[in-house]
Amino acid sequence: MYAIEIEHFSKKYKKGQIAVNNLSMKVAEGTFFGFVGPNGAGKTTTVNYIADLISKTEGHLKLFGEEIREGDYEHKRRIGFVLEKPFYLKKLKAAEYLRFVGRMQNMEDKLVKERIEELLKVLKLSEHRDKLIEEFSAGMKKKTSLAAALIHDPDLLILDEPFEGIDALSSKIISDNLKAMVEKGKTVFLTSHVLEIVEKLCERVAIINRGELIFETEVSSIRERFKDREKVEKYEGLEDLFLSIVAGEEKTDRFSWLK
Amino acid sequence: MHDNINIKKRILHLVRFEFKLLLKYSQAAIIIPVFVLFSLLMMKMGGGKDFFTMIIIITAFILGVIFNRQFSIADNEFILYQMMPVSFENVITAKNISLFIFAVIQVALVVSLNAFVYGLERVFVIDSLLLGLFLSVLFLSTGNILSLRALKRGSSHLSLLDNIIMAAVLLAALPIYAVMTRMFSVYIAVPVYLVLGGGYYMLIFSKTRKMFCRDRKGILERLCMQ
Repeated sequence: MYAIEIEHFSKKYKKGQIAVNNLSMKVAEGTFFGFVGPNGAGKTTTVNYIADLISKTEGHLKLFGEEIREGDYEHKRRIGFVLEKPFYLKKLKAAEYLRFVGRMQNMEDKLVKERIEELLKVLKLSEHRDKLIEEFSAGMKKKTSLAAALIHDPDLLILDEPFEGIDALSSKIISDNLKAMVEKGKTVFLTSHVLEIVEKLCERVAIINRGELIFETEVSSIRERFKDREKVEKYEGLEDLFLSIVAGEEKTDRFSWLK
Repeated sequence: MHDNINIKKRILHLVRFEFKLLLKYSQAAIIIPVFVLFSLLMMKMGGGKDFFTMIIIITAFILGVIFNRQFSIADNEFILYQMMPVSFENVITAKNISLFIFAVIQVALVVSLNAFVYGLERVFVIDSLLLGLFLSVLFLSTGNILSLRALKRGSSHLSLLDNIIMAAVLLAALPIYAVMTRMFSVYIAVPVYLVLGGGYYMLIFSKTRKMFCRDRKGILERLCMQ
Protein backbone atom coordinates (compact mmCIF):
# COMPACT_ATOMS: atom_id res chain seq x y z
CA MET A 1 0.00 0.00 0.00
CA TYR A 2 1.23 3.47 -0.89
CA ALA A 3 0.70 6.56 1.21
CA ILE A 4 1.32 8.83 -1.79
CA GLU A 5 0.98 8.00 -5.48
CA ILE A 6 1.57 10.79 -7.95
CA GLU A 7 1.09 10.00 -11.61
CA HIS A 8 2.19 12.22 -14.49
CA PHE A 9 1.90 15.42 -12.50
CA SER A 10 2.70 18.53 -14.53
CA LYS A 11 2.33 22.12 -13.52
CA LYS A 12 2.68 24.87 -16.06
CA TYR A 13 2.10 28.49 -15.20
CA LYS A 14 0.29 30.90 -17.47
CA LYS A 15 3.48 32.52 -18.71
CA GLY A 16 4.56 29.12 -20.04
CA GLN A 17 6.99 28.44 -17.21
CA ILE A 18 7.10 24.72 -16.40
CA ALA A 19 7.39 24.13 -12.65
CA VAL A 20 7.01 20.35 -12.72
CA ASN A 21 6.98 18.12 -15.79
CA ASN A 22 5.41 14.65 -15.86
CA LEU A 23 6.40 13.63 -12.34
CA SER A 24 5.43 10.15 -11.20
CA MET A 25 6.37 8.92 -7.76
CA LYS A 26 5.21 6.43 -5.15
CA VAL A 27 5.84 6.61 -1.44
CA ALA A 28 5.18 3.39 0.42
CA GLU A 29 3.41 3.49 3.77
CA GLY A 30 5.72 3.45 6.77
CA THR A 31 8.60 5.06 4.87
CA PHE A 32 10.74 8.06 5.70
CA PHE A 33 10.97 9.56 2.22
CA GLY A 34 13.32 12.39 1.26
CA PHE A 35 12.60 14.69 -1.65
CA VAL A 36 15.54 16.86 -2.59
CA GLY A 37 16.54 19.21 -5.36
CA PRO A 38 18.14 22.58 -5.97
CA ASN A 39 16.25 25.87 -5.54
CA GLY A 40 13.39 26.18 -8.00
CA ALA A 41 13.50 22.48 -8.89
CA GLY A 42 9.79 21.93 -8.18
CA LYS A 43 9.84 20.54 -4.62
CA THR A 44 7.47 23.09 -3.12
CA THR A 45 5.18 22.93 -6.17
CA THR A 46 4.91 19.17 -5.62
CA VAL A 47 4.21 19.63 -1.90
CA ASN A 48 1.61 22.31 -2.68
CA TYR A 49 -0.04 19.90 -5.13
CA ILE A 50 -0.28 17.21 -2.45
CA ALA A 51 -1.60 19.84 -0.03
CA ASP A 52 -4.27 20.83 -2.60
CA LEU A 53 -3.04 24.41 -2.71
CA ILE A 54 -2.44 24.64 -6.44
CA SER A 55 -4.15 23.41 -9.55
CA LYS A 56 -2.50 20.88 -11.81
CA THR A 57 -1.98 21.08 -15.54
CA GLU A 58 -2.08 17.29 -15.67
CA GLY A 59 -1.83 14.39 -13.30
CA HIS A 60 -3.46 12.22 -10.66
CA LEU A 61 -2.95 12.04 -6.95
CA LYS A 62 -3.80 9.11 -4.72
CA LEU A 63 -3.41 9.19 -0.97
CA PHE A 64 -3.68 5.89 0.88
CA GLY A 65 -5.00 4.32 -2.31
CA GLU A 66 -7.84 6.81 -2.78
CA GLU A 67 -7.98 9.11 -5.77
CA ILE A 68 -8.09 12.73 -4.57
CA ARG A 69 -10.53 14.89 -6.46
CA GLU A 70 -11.01 18.66 -6.55
CA GLY A 71 -12.48 19.87 -3.26
CA ASP A 72 -12.00 16.59 -1.31
CA TYR A 73 -11.06 17.28 2.27
CA GLU A 74 -11.91 14.29 4.52
CA HIS A 75 -8.51 12.69 3.81
CA LYS A 76 -6.83 15.63 5.55
CA ARG A 77 -7.76 14.09 8.89
CA ARG A 78 -4.95 11.59 8.23
CA ILE A 79 -2.36 14.13 7.10
CA GLY A 80 -0.23 16.79 8.76
CA PHE A 81 1.40 19.56 6.74
CA VAL A 82 4.31 21.87 7.40
CA LEU A 83 4.73 24.24 4.48
CA GLU A 84 7.98 25.97 3.59
CA LYS A 85 6.59 29.35 4.55
CA PRO A 86 5.07 28.87 7.98
CA PHE A 87 1.48 30.09 8.03
CA TYR A 88 0.05 31.10 11.36
CA LEU A 89 -2.46 33.43 12.91
CA LYS A 90 -0.29 36.07 14.45
CA LYS A 91 -2.76 37.43 16.99
CA LEU A 92 -3.17 34.06 18.68
CA LYS A 93 -1.02 32.31 21.24
CA ALA A 94 0.46 28.97 20.21
CA ALA A 95 -1.88 27.03 22.55
CA GLU A 96 -4.96 28.86 21.20
CA TYR A 97 -4.02 28.06 17.63
CA LEU A 98 -3.23 24.42 18.41
CA ARG A 99 -6.52 24.02 20.26
CA PHE A 100 -8.42 25.18 17.21
CA VAL A 101 -6.50 22.81 14.92
CA GLY A 102 -7.13 19.90 17.32
CA ARG A 103 -10.85 20.63 17.54
CA MET A 104 -11.11 20.90 13.75
CA GLN A 105 -9.56 17.44 13.57
CA ASN A 106 -12.47 16.15 15.67
CA MET A 107 -10.33 15.47 18.72
CA GLU A 108 -11.83 15.46 22.20
CA ASP A 109 -11.11 18.63 24.13
CA LYS A 110 -9.38 16.74 26.94
CA LEU A 111 -7.03 15.01 24.53
CA VAL A 112 -6.36 18.28 22.70
CA LYS A 113 -5.32 19.94 25.95
CA GLU A 114 -3.03 17.05 26.89
CA ARG A 115 -1.39 17.04 23.46
CA ILE A 116 -0.89 20.81 23.51
CA GLU A 117 0.91 20.62 26.85
CA GLU A 118 3.16 17.85 25.58
CA LEU A 119 3.88 19.47 22.23
CA LEU A 120 4.73 22.82 23.80
CA LYS A 121 6.96 21.11 26.36
CA VAL A 122 8.82 18.86 23.94
CA LEU A 123 9.24 21.59 21.32
CA LYS A 124 10.52 24.01 23.99
CA LEU A 125 7.67 26.46 23.52
CA SER A 126 6.18 26.20 27.02
CA GLU A 127 7.99 29.23 28.37
CA HIS A 128 6.62 31.33 25.51
CA ARG A 129 3.03 30.29 26.01
CA ASP A 130 1.90 33.80 26.96
CA LYS A 131 3.35 35.36 23.84
CA LEU A 132 1.42 35.91 20.64
CA ILE A 133 2.73 33.97 17.63
CA GLU A 134 3.69 37.27 15.97
CA GLU A 135 6.25 37.78 18.76
CA PHE A 136 7.89 34.41 18.04
CA SER A 137 11.21 33.99 16.24
CA ALA A 138 11.23 32.32 12.81
CA GLY A 139 12.25 28.98 14.36
CA MET A 140 9.51 29.15 16.97
CA LYS A 141 6.93 29.87 14.28
CA LYS A 142 8.16 26.82 12.37
CA LYS A 143 7.88 24.73 15.52
CA THR A 144 4.31 25.96 16.02
CA SER A 145 3.49 24.85 12.46
CA LEU A 146 5.04 21.49 13.21
CA ALA A 147 3.04 21.16 16.43
CA ALA A 148 -0.15 21.89 14.45
CA ALA A 149 0.80 19.19 11.94
CA LEU A 150 1.46 16.65 14.71
CA ILE A 151 -1.37 17.31 17.15
CA HIS A 152 -3.81 14.82 15.59
CA ASP A 153 -1.16 12.09 15.23
CA PRO A 154 -1.44 11.89 11.42
CA ASP A 155 -0.64 8.80 9.37
CA LEU A 156 1.18 10.91 6.80
CA LEU A 157 3.35 13.92 7.51
CA ILE A 158 4.32 16.23 4.66
CA LEU A 159 7.23 18.43 5.69
CA ASP A 160 8.61 21.16 3.44
CA GLU A 161 11.91 22.39 4.88
CA PRO A 162 10.86 21.70 8.49
CA PHE A 163 14.28 22.35 10.02
CA GLU A 164 14.77 25.83 8.60
CA GLY A 165 15.55 28.28 11.41
CA ILE A 166 15.33 25.61 14.10
CA ASP A 167 18.15 25.26 16.62
CA ALA A 168 20.27 22.11 16.91
CA LEU A 169 18.66 20.82 20.09
CA SER A 170 15.13 21.18 18.76
CA SER A 171 16.22 19.65 15.42
CA LYS A 172 17.49 16.60 17.29
CA ILE A 173 14.25 16.28 19.27
CA ILE A 174 12.15 16.66 16.14
CA SER A 175 14.28 14.16 14.20
CA ASP A 176 14.00 11.59 16.99
CA ASN A 177 10.24 11.97 17.14
CA LEU A 178 9.90 11.72 13.36
CA LYS A 179 11.94 8.52 13.40
CA ALA A 180 9.71 7.16 16.16
CA MET A 181 6.66 7.98 14.04
CA VAL A 182 8.03 5.97 11.12
CA GLU A 183 8.85 3.08 13.47
CA LYS A 184 5.17 3.08 14.43
CA GLY A 185 4.22 2.67 10.75
CA LYS A 186 3.55 6.31 9.86
CA THR A 187 4.86 7.89 6.67
CA VAL A 188 7.01 11.01 6.52
CA PHE A 189 7.60 12.90 3.28
CA LEU A 190 10.41 15.38 3.80
CA THR A 191 11.93 18.04 1.58
CA SER A 192 15.09 19.72 2.75
CA HIS A 193 18.08 21.57 1.45
CA VAL A 194 20.16 20.04 4.20
CA LEU A 195 21.28 16.81 2.60
CA GLU A 196 22.93 15.57 5.79
CA ILE A 197 19.54 15.53 7.52
CA VAL A 198 17.90 13.72 4.62
CA GLU A 199 20.69 11.18 4.51
CA LYS A 200 20.52 10.63 8.25
CA LEU A 201 16.75 10.31 8.49
CA CYS A 202 15.39 8.99 5.23
CA GLU A 203 15.26 5.44 3.95
CA ARG A 204 14.50 6.46 0.41
CA VAL A 205 15.33 9.58 -1.52
CA ALA A 206 14.18 11.14 -4.78
CA ILE A 207 15.99 13.94 -6.58
CA ILE A 208 14.13 16.49 -8.64
CA ASN A 209 15.81 18.95 -10.97
CA ARG A 210 14.26 21.51 -13.33
CA GLY A 211 10.82 20.07 -12.67
CA GLU A 212 11.71 16.49 -13.50
CA LEU A 213 12.25 13.54 -11.24
CA ILE A 214 15.67 12.34 -12.22
CA PHE A 215 16.66 9.86 -9.60
CA GLU A 216 15.19 7.70 -6.86
CA THR A 217 17.01 5.23 -4.66
CA GLU A 218 17.41 3.66 -1.24
CA VAL A 219 19.65 5.89 0.89
CA SER A 220 21.56 2.82 2.10
CA SER A 221 22.60 2.00 -1.47
CA ILE A 222 24.17 5.38 -2.21
CA ARG A 223 27.51 4.52 -0.64
CA GLU A 224 27.64 1.26 -2.50
CA ARG A 225 28.83 1.17 -6.06
CA PHE A 226 25.98 2.47 -8.08
CA LYS A 227 25.33 1.84 -11.74
CA ASP A 228 24.39 4.97 -13.65
CA ARG A 229 23.46 3.67 -17.11
CA GLU A 230 26.83 3.64 -18.85
CA LYS A 231 29.31 4.37 -16.13
CA VAL A 232 29.95 2.92 -12.73
CA GLU A 233 30.76 5.41 -10.00
CA LYS A 234 31.31 5.47 -6.30
CA TYR A 235 29.64 8.08 -4.17
CA GLU A 236 30.78 9.22 -0.75
CA GLY A 237 27.26 10.08 0.28
CA LEU A 238 24.03 11.78 -0.74
CA GLU A 239 25.72 15.14 -1.29
CA ASP A 240 28.19 13.56 -3.67
CA LEU A 241 25.42 11.81 -5.59
CA PHE A 242 23.27 14.96 -5.59
CA LEU A 243 26.07 17.13 -6.95
CA SER A 244 27.01 14.63 -9.61
CA ILE A 245 23.41 14.42 -10.81
CA VAL A 246 22.37 18.06 -10.49
CA ALA A 247 25.62 19.75 -11.54
CA GLY A 248 26.35 17.08 -14.18
CA GLU A 249 29.28 17.95 -16.34
CA GLU A 250 29.22 21.61 -15.35
CA LYS A 251 32.25 22.86 -13.48
CA THR A 252 31.76 24.48 -10.09
CA ASP A 253 31.48 28.17 -10.76
CA ARG A 254 33.68 30.58 -8.88
CA PHE A 255 33.54 34.39 -8.78
CA SER A 256 36.03 35.86 -11.27
CA TRP A 257 37.72 37.90 -8.55
CA LEU A 258 38.43 34.76 -6.55
CA LYS A 259 40.06 32.85 -9.35
CA MET B 1 -24.64 9.92 9.63
CA HIS B 2 -21.61 10.00 11.90
CA ASP B 3 -19.70 12.01 9.28
CA ASN B 4 -22.53 14.55 9.06
CA ILE B 5 -22.37 15.09 12.82
CA ASN B 6 -18.61 15.51 12.60
CA ILE B 7 -18.91 18.05 9.79
CA LYS B 8 -21.54 20.03 11.71
CA LYS B 9 -19.29 20.00 14.78
CA ARG B 10 -16.39 21.25 12.67
CA ILE B 11 -18.49 24.08 11.21
CA LEU B 12 -19.57 25.06 14.70
CA HIS B 13 -15.92 25.18 15.81
CA LEU B 14 -15.14 27.18 12.71
CA VAL B 15 -17.85 29.78 13.46
CA ARG B 16 -16.70 30.05 17.08
CA PHE B 17 -13.10 30.38 15.98
CA GLU B 18 -13.94 32.95 13.31
CA PHE B 19 -15.85 34.97 15.90
CA LYS B 20 -12.86 34.82 18.22
CA LEU B 21 -10.57 35.95 15.39
CA LEU B 22 -12.98 38.74 14.59
CA LEU B 23 -12.77 40.03 18.15
CA LYS B 24 -9.00 39.65 18.29
CA TYR B 25 -8.16 41.10 14.90
CA SER B 26 -10.66 43.92 14.86
CA GLN B 27 -9.64 44.84 18.39
CA ALA B 28 -13.33 44.88 19.19
CA ALA B 29 -12.47 44.77 22.88
CA ILE B 30 -11.14 48.30 22.41
CA ILE B 31 -13.50 49.57 19.73
CA ILE B 32 -16.77 48.65 21.46
CA PRO B 33 -16.10 50.28 24.88
CA VAL B 34 -14.71 53.38 23.17
CA PHE B 35 -17.77 53.49 20.96
CA VAL B 36 -20.14 53.07 23.91
CA LEU B 37 -18.34 55.81 25.85
CA PHE B 38 -18.50 58.05 22.80
CA SER B 39 -22.24 57.40 22.51
CA LEU B 40 -22.82 58.24 26.17
CA LEU B 41 -20.78 61.41 25.87
CA MET B 42 -22.76 62.51 22.85
CA MET B 43 -25.99 61.78 24.68
CA LYS B 44 -24.91 64.01 27.57
CA MET B 45 -24.45 66.78 25.05
CA GLY B 46 -27.99 66.32 23.76
CA GLY B 47 -29.49 63.54 21.69
CA GLY B 48 -32.31 63.52 19.18
CA LYS B 49 -33.24 61.55 16.12
CA ASP B 50 -30.49 63.03 13.94
CA PHE B 51 -27.94 62.12 16.53
CA PHE B 52 -29.37 58.65 16.72
CA THR B 53 -29.04 58.23 12.97
CA MET B 54 -25.46 59.43 13.19
CA ILE B 55 -24.69 56.85 15.86
CA ILE B 56 -26.08 54.11 13.67
CA ILE B 57 -24.04 55.34 10.70
CA ILE B 58 -20.88 55.31 12.81
CA THR B 59 -21.78 51.77 13.86
CA ALA B 60 -21.99 50.80 10.23
CA PHE B 61 -18.63 52.40 9.53
CA ILE B 62 -17.08 50.46 12.41
CA LEU B 63 -18.59 47.30 10.98
CA GLY B 64 -16.98 48.22 7.68
CA VAL B 65 -13.60 48.59 9.35
CA ILE B 66 -14.08 45.28 11.15
CA PHE B 67 -15.06 43.60 7.91
CA ASN B 68 -11.95 44.95 6.28
CA ARG B 69 -9.80 43.67 9.13
CA GLN B 70 -11.50 40.31 9.09
CA PHE B 71 -10.65 39.70 5.46
CA SER B 72 -7.23 41.27 5.84
CA ILE B 73 -6.03 38.16 7.62
CA ALA B 74 -7.48 35.92 4.96
CA ASP B 75 -4.12 35.21 3.32
CA ASN B 76 -3.02 32.98 6.19
CA GLU B 77 -6.44 31.74 7.04
CA PHE B 78 -7.43 30.32 3.69
CA ILE B 79 -4.16 28.43 3.41
CA LEU B 80 -4.36 27.20 7.02
CA TYR B 81 -7.91 25.98 6.52
CA GLN B 82 -6.76 24.17 3.41
CA MET B 83 -4.64 21.95 5.68
CA MET B 84 -7.71 20.94 7.66
CA PRO B 85 -10.67 18.68 6.94
CA VAL B 86 -13.00 21.53 6.03
CA SER B 87 -14.33 22.81 2.72
CA PHE B 88 -13.79 26.28 1.30
CA GLU B 89 -17.55 26.68 1.22
CA ASN B 90 -17.79 26.07 4.97
CA VAL B 91 -15.09 28.64 5.63
CA ILE B 92 -16.92 31.35 3.69
CA THR B 93 -20.18 30.46 5.42
CA ALA B 94 -18.55 30.54 8.85
CA LYS B 95 -16.97 33.91 8.11
CA ASN B 96 -20.32 35.38 7.12
CA ILE B 97 -22.16 33.89 10.09
CA SER B 98 -19.62 35.26 12.55
CA LEU B 99 -19.71 38.68 10.89
CA PHE B 100 -23.49 38.70 10.88
CA ILE B 101 -23.68 37.76 14.57
CA PHE B 102 -21.19 40.50 15.32
CA ALA B 103 -23.14 43.05 13.28
CA VAL B 104 -26.41 42.20 15.02
CA ILE B 105 -24.81 42.36 18.48
CA GLN B 106 -23.18 45.69 17.74
CA VAL B 107 -26.33 47.34 16.39
CA ALA B 108 -28.54 45.87 19.09
CA LEU B 109 -26.11 47.01 21.75
CA VAL B 110 -26.16 50.62 20.59
CA VAL B 111 -29.92 50.78 20.09
CA SER B 112 -30.62 49.16 23.48
CA LEU B 113 -28.19 51.47 25.20
CA ASN B 114 -29.86 54.53 23.73
CA ALA B 115 -33.32 53.20 24.46
CA PHE B 116 -32.33 52.38 28.02
CA VAL B 117 -30.89 55.84 28.67
CA TYR B 118 -33.73 57.79 27.08
CA GLY B 119 -36.67 55.44 27.43
CA LEU B 120 -37.44 56.06 23.81
CA GLU B 121 -40.61 55.25 21.99
CA ARG B 122 -40.87 51.80 20.54
CA VAL B 123 -41.31 53.10 17.01
CA PHE B 124 -38.15 55.12 17.30
CA VAL B 125 -36.16 52.16 18.61
CA ILE B 126 -37.41 49.93 15.81
CA ASP B 127 -36.60 52.68 13.33
CA SER B 128 -33.00 52.89 14.57
CA LEU B 129 -32.61 49.15 14.67
CA LEU B 130 -33.92 48.91 11.15
CA LEU B 131 -31.48 51.47 9.83
CA GLY B 132 -28.62 49.76 11.66
CA LEU B 133 -29.47 46.37 10.23
CA PHE B 134 -30.05 47.85 6.79
CA LEU B 135 -26.57 49.34 6.75
CA SER B 136 -25.01 46.21 8.24
CA VAL B 137 -26.49 44.00 5.55
CA LEU B 138 -25.26 46.38 2.87
CA PHE B 139 -21.80 46.23 4.37
CA LEU B 140 -21.85 42.45 4.56
CA SER B 141 -23.05 42.09 0.98
CA THR B 142 -20.72 44.69 -0.49
CA GLY B 143 -17.89 43.39 1.66
CA ASN B 144 -18.35 39.90 0.22
CA ILE B 145 -18.15 41.21 -3.33
CA LEU B 146 -15.16 43.44 -2.61
CA SER B 147 -13.29 40.68 -0.76
CA LEU B 148 -13.80 38.32 -3.67
CA ARG B 149 -12.45 41.00 -6.03
CA ALA B 150 -9.44 41.52 -3.76
CA LEU B 151 -8.68 37.80 -3.44
CA LYS B 152 -9.05 37.36 -7.19
CA ARG B 153 -6.38 39.94 -7.82
CA GLY B 154 -4.12 38.07 -5.38
CA SER B 155 -4.47 40.45 -2.48
CA SER B 156 -6.11 39.77 0.85
CA HIS B 157 -6.56 43.46 1.62
CA LEU B 158 -9.31 45.76 0.52
CA SER B 159 -7.80 48.65 -1.43
CA LEU B 160 -8.52 52.36 -1.00
CA LEU B 161 -10.86 52.11 -4.00
CA ASP B 162 -12.71 49.24 -2.32
CA ASN B 163 -13.21 51.35 0.78
CA ILE B 164 -14.46 54.27 -1.33
CA ILE B 165 -16.93 51.92 -3.05
CA MET B 166 -18.06 50.73 0.37
CA ALA B 167 -18.63 54.32 1.56
CA ALA B 168 -20.43 55.18 -1.71
CA VAL B 169 -22.81 52.23 -1.27
CA LEU B 170 -23.53 53.39 2.25
CA LEU B 171 -24.23 56.95 1.15
CA ALA B 172 -26.44 55.76 -1.70
CA ALA B 173 -28.37 53.55 0.72
CA LEU B 174 -29.37 56.37 3.05
CA PRO B 175 -31.76 58.14 0.64
CA ILE B 176 -33.29 54.77 -0.27
CA TYR B 177 -33.88 54.12 3.39
CA ALA B 178 -35.29 57.63 3.93
CA VAL B 179 -37.74 57.19 1.03
CA MET B 180 -38.71 53.76 2.31
CA THR B 181 -39.54 55.00 5.82
CA ARG B 182 -41.32 58.14 4.53
CA MET B 183 -43.51 56.10 2.22
CA PHE B 184 -44.41 53.48 4.78
CA SER B 185 -44.58 53.37 8.55
CA VAL B 186 -41.78 51.46 10.24
CA TYR B 187 -44.22 48.64 10.89
CA ILE B 188 -44.53 48.16 7.16
CA ALA B 189 -40.89 49.04 6.46
CA VAL B 190 -39.65 46.31 8.83
CA PRO B 191 -41.15 43.35 6.97
CA VAL B 192 -40.34 44.98 3.63
CA TYR B 193 -36.76 45.38 4.78
CA LEU B 194 -36.58 41.87 6.16
CA VAL B 195 -37.75 40.41 2.87
CA LEU B 196 -35.80 42.69 0.53
CA GLY B 197 -32.67 43.22 2.65
CA GLY B 198 -32.49 39.60 3.77
CA GLY B 199 -33.17 38.38 0.25
CA TYR B 200 -30.56 40.69 -1.22
CA TYR B 201 -27.95 39.57 1.27
CA MET B 202 -28.71 35.88 0.79
CA LEU B 203 -28.51 36.31 -2.97
CA ILE B 204 -25.17 38.11 -2.82
CA PHE B 205 -23.86 35.67 -0.22
CA SER B 206 -24.74 32.57 -2.23
CA LYS B 207 -23.45 34.08 -5.49
CA THR B 208 -20.13 35.20 -4.00
CA ARG B 209 -19.73 31.92 -2.12
CA LYS B 210 -20.16 30.03 -5.38
CA MET B 211 -17.63 32.31 -7.05
CA PHE B 212 -15.19 31.95 -4.14
CA CYS B 213 -15.46 28.17 -4.41
CA ARG B 214 -15.24 28.09 -8.20
CA ASP B 215 -12.03 30.12 -8.14
CA ARG B 216 -10.74 28.41 -4.98
CA LYS B 217 -7.57 27.06 -6.57
CA GLY B 218 -6.80 30.34 -8.32
CA ILE B 219 -7.21 32.25 -5.05
CA LEU B 220 -5.03 29.82 -3.10
CA GLU B 221 -2.40 29.77 -5.83
CA ARG B 222 -2.17 33.55 -5.87
CA LEU B 223 -1.98 33.67 -2.07
CA CYS B 224 0.77 31.02 -2.08
CA MET B 225 2.76 33.05 -4.60
CA GLN B 226 2.82 36.09 -2.34
